[in-house]
Amino acid sequence: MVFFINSGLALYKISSFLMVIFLLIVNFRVSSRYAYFIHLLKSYFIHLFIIGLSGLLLFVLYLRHPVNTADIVCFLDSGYKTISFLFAILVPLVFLYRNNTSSIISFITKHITIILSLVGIIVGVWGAYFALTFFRINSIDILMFGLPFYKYFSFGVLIFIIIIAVIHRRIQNVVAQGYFNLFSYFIFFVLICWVVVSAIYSFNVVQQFISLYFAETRAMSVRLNIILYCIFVFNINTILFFGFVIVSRIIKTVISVVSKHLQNLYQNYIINYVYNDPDSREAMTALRKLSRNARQSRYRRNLISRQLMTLHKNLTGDIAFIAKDLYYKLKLTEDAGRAFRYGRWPKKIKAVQEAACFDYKAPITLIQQLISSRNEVLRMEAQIALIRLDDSPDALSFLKFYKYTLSEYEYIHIINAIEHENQNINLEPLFESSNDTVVIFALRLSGHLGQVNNYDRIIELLRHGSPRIREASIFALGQLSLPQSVEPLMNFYQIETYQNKINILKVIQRLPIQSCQPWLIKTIKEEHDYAIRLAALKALQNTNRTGEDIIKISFVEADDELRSLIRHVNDKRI
Amino acid sequence: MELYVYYLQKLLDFGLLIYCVVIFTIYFTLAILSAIALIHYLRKNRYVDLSPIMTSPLAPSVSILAPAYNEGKTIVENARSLLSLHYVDFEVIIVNDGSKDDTLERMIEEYNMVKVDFAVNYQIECQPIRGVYKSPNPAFSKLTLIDKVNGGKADALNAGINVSSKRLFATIDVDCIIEYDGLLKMVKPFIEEKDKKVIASGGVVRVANSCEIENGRIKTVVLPKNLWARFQVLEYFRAFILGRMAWSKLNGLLLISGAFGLFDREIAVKAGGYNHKTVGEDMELVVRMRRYMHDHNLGKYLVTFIPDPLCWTEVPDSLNILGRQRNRWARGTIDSLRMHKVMFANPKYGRLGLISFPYWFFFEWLAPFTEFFGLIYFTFLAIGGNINFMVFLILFIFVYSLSVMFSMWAIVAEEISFHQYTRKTDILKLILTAMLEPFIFHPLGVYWSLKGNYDYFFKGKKEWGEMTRKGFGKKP
Repeated sequence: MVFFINSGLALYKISSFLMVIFLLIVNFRVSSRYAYFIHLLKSYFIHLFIIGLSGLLLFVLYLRHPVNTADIVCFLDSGYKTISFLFAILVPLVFLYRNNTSSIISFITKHITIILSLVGIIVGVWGAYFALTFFRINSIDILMFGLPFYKYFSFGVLIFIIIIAVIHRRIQNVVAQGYFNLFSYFIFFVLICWVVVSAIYSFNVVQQFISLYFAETRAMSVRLNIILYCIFVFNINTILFFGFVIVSRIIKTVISVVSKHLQNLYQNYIINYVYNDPDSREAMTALRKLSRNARQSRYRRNLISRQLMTLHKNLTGDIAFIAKDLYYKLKLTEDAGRAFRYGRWPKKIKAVQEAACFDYKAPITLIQQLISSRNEVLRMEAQIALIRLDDSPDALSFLKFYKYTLSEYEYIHIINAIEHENQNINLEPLFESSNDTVVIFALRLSGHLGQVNNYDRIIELLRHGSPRIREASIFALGQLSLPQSVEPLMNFYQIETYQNKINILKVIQRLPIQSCQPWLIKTIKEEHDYAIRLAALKALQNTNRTGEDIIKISFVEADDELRSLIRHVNDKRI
Repeated sequence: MELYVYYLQKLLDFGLLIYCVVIFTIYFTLAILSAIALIHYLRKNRYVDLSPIMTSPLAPSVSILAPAYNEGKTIVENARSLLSLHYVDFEVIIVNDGSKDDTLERMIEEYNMVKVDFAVNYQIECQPIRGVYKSPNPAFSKLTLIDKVNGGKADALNAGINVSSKRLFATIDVDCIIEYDGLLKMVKPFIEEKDKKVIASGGVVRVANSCEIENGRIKTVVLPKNLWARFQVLEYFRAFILGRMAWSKLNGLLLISGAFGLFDREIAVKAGGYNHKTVGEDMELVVRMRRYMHDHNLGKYLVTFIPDPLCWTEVPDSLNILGRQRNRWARGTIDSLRMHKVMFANPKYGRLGLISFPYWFFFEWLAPFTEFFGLIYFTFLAIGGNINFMVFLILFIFVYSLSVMFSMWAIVAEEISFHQYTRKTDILKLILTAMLEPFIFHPLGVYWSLKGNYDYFFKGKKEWGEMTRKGFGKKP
């Protein structure tokens, strides 16, 4: 350990000397000497003033509580060195970044310089005072602990400043600014690592100090020791969390800078290829460059395929066809194929989406296998892909033996896919499924696509034991809008649940059949529920053009609630 | 006598120690659970395409209920912002809760609204509705305005539920800013759950103070300049990202913020709607809906939580208003716990009765009392010269380190998930805030909470108290 500290100190002394010289040269090159010296002079006077103040403070303390003068000299010396070193760093720093409004360094230099000095003085002097008077610690011990700590810290700060100064001067364009941000985060991260190492080192010293303190009164309890370890762990965690934030930002910065740059590049290549004659020089050059990039890494291939997918989704006709052709020419199918076999689920999802988008049918058997995957996101993507890849009426046959519950969310996505790809789907086998959710899906889709050939099946399902299936059948009949639906719906009304009664009345609202008027009048008179009466009144009003008159005639002696409902129904603004 | 004092002291020491160990263990468990839930949510939703919900007739219909009391200055813009939400089938119901200013007149004038013959179905008790207004302009066909006698926020929401006609209803503070896709994301749990019925869903509320706002939307997210608002940013991080996410994972969520929540209308109505006798109506409704599901054996159900930043609100930035808000929160908590005390440690209510409810009792309601008692006990010991100051210092640093670490944990969760505060200085400021919070904000929180308890038990205070807001629209 001693060897480590000594060699570190030696290295630090040489390096810091060289770096200060380097920093000065950099500053002289970028600015006028005169301005720099004026600034340096001003700062030096402030510096002297603060040092003088700290000396005065120590003197006052000495008068009140006389302590060993050697101790004071030691502290004064170390305090002076610390502050002067900090100023040696901060003065050029202030000069370098005084006009920079966006940088974090600017913030530090503008606001922290003075605060840091004052905090340093207050903490240093009062800390020394308390350490000497109350805890009776040997000043040499503190120096032995404090000096290496301070020196390593200031060494780290110096490296950080110099690197940032050089990079900030040299790199000016946008992409490089991103890298600059990235680099500043990286330096932060290195500093954090260094702080963690220092903390681990100093923990032992603190623990020894506390043990020493308790040794005079009583033995340090196990509980206290556990708490000490907890404090240590919490603080290390806090520092690590901070490091994590920095790492996260580094990753986000890298991804955003690199992907932005590459995306712009690939967009240009793709546009050149798609909007030019495939045999033209521009198109050939674009293809060659894209191929070269695609060969370089999987990351680049992912970016290219994502661009092509966006293009394919947003455009139709020839352009979409050329984009698809380009996908095959760049051999991006190979990645998708590999992902199906060996990839984890996020990669598989991407591969499934690509296959569906670019009509890549080779892995269809593998996609079918994914239908029974335990991962619901993957399962849904596989369902959508199969629908898109299969143009036949039996594209939904995979659902016949589907064992999982289908959610409304899946209904929405599958129906959306079918609507765009394949309207002539055969739903007959799905009505036979033992899975209720598949039957409900078939009913919903049947109504949505207006497949009147399933009418008998739907009527049959009005007798089903599950209220949810009956509800779906009622809605399907409503969407089919067949006048013959009204009779069976009226027949099933009495045995239905409350909610399904309202659903039946809402469906009848959409089917203006005059023959159901007496039944609706009877329902309104017999039922006393607000929602049922309102739905029935609306249905009655919609039966024909004289609906309003029929309501007036039929309910001359209506109660107050019914009268307000009639007014509600008659008000067309609602 | 001395022996009694000795044993009493030991008992107190041991009791406080147990309390601390339990509370720290719970915090750790919640933090770990929230991390798991957050990672699961992010992974699952990475590939989600919400656009089909936007156009699907199968998407559940939603009524947005926005109670307004003396919001004349901002009501027109806020209603427009709500009307511009991205969703397929929704209606916006603004409830003018007997405002004394020109809220009603401004709405009628701006949206050309007329009184209609709406037959209100008073399924839930509320103050009389003076009129329902609609606009003949088709562009505002989704908008409904209710004018009613003043009865408080809960009463206004009940009136809104009575007028609403959709499957779900969302409650929104009219001055909040909702993200364009906020409804789409909130609706998703209701339609994607397969074996359990989702009865309510809550979203993260974020602090909009100092943010740049354009056309009723957040343009640039900035950390508040005001220190009190900044403390609340951190507090909201911990409460929403660490706390509620974990409780949602345990299906033990008892509170959905009144600022933005989505509920199953049928269950809410059957449970009796909002209770207008409490100031903590948001928590009370969730507890009652859950209790209703258990009492009537309605099968498995969920109360979910969305970690996405969906709703932005202006938090109090003055001590007076903040104190009043916290006072109300404390009274609301007591009300909800007292009204449903039968659930406490009752196995009939499963996790809700055995975990969530006792947690709220011991560590949300009793925590300020324990802290206050700890301080008195410490003073008593210090006067008697029974304090070892080195041990005290170590314990103090222990608690402080833990507090800062939890705050850092929340910052990390935010950073890796939604990364809203992109400026480098914002992160540094947040960390500094986390370091200051235990000394400034936390003691004040304890004081406000104790005052809330005092007001509740000794003054019988039940009203909301005046909440003054500066309003958005001004650039920071």
